[in-house]
Amino acid sequence: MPDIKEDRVLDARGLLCPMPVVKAAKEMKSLEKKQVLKILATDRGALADFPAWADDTGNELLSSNEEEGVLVFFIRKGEDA
Amino acid sequence: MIFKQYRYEPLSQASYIVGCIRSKKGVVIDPIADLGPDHYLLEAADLGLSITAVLETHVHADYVSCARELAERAEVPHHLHESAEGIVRYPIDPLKDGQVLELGKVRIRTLHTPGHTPEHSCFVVYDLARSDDPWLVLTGDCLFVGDVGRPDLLLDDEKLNIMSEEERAESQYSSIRNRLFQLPDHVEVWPGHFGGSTCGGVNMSGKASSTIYYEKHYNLAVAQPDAAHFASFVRETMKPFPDNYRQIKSYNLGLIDRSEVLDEPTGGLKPSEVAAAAESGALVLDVHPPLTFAHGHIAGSVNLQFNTADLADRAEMALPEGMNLVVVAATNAVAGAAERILGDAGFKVEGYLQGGLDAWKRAGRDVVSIPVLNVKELRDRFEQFQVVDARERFEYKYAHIPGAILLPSLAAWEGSESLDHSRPFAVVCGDQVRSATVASMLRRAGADAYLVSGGMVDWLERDFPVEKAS
Repeated sequence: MPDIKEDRVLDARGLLCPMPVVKAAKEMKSLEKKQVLKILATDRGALADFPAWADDTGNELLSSNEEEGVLVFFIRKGEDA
Repeated sequence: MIFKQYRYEPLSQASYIVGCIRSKKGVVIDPIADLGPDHYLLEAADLGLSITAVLETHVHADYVSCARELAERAEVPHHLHESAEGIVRYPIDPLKDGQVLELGKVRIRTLHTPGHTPEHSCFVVYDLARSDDPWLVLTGDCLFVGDVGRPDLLLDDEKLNIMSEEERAESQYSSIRNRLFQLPDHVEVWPGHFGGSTCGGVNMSGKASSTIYYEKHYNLAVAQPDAAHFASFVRETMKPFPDNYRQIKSYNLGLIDRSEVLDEPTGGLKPSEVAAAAESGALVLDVHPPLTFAHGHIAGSVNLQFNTADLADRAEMALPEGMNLVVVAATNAVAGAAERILGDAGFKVEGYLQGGLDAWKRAGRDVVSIPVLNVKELRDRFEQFQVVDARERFEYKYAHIPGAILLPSLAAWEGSESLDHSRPFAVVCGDQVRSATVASMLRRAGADAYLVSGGMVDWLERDFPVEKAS
């Protein structure tokens, strides 16, 4: 994975779907365009949810990974988001 | 290494999950029924661990253990020291002194420490990824922070009373001084109780961890010069007997049935009161995990899985504002927590079912189930079903099962009259949390709904066909 530097981190571990995305959408509002949000989640449903949400809102899903049981997503705020 | 302590404050009790990050294997130590098997199964799932064994330091006298039930549910061994064989009236996997359980890079060594009870053992934990030195020891009711386990909780059972109270005190003294205190000074001490627990004396600290060094130097009981002084010191600083200990110990030994152990009085409702509340319009909200719910629940109840992190948010998304609820959960503790969380979120919670579904069934009342399909079965029997997608529009838009009807929970609650009822519904979401909510709402309204386990995550993983909506 290329080095991605996040501007903010959202800890959504323990939340059930679709709450990780709901919280991420809220958090994203306060970011500048092109800034990157890193999200930690534990609900497997997030694997389907973040690509869907990014696609729907014009944000860019840079990567999704699993590290020691935690799902890690990097999402860049889109130009039109 | 993954290491987590779970404190059950009402009984000042501590249970543990220890696991290996690499092998994803984990064990549960001294699980308590007040938290319940589901608590540990969910925690292990959250930590990404599969449970490979359930361990108990000893047969407890002050709280109801759920080790047997948890081991059964997880289909793993239930370990106690070998001297418990023949004492307990159920099968165990015996551990010998010095026996080692390997969980990938994490090692757990059994240290037999008789005293509090004859079979009592401590578990020494190593993180071999970092060092061959032991890192911590789970001391159960042998050594507490500032105090020691009491040696006097006996039952009138010949098989158990193989040592007199004096002998137990002596052997407790020797187990701590000659066995536990042989561990290096740096080793952390993680006890089975803290603070107000009646399993120890008046000097027990409210702090729930310590080190070998600190206890060696500053534990008043262990600092007594010999076993005789220790025995009289322990006797003089003892607390009253734990409530109900004879019944609890008898249950934990397998001598009596769970229903013979009296639950502490709480604000829970009797089965007849729950039925009456439901008849007068309250919704029975069952907060078990979805697949447990599907297996058996009260007819007409709706499922919303419990967690502390976001139950309130999900309830607000799924249910009409401020409605009347009665909660059903695996344990009174979880039900009570759900009652508080939902009450704070503006729902009118009339109470919870005291004793959970066991109490319901004991009262001679029926439970019903929801049929479950996995994604493979849904694909194989596709023509027989109408797929209902319980997620939100943005998720549905990106990828859904061809022909699926979008029906988030609030819409499902408002009615399914407009749907075609000629074929049964197969309800999906990302996994099975929201689909269980919607499937239960559809069934409440009289529709024939199935729950699809694994949901869209499994469906997409298998590259089964999807379509997008514009």
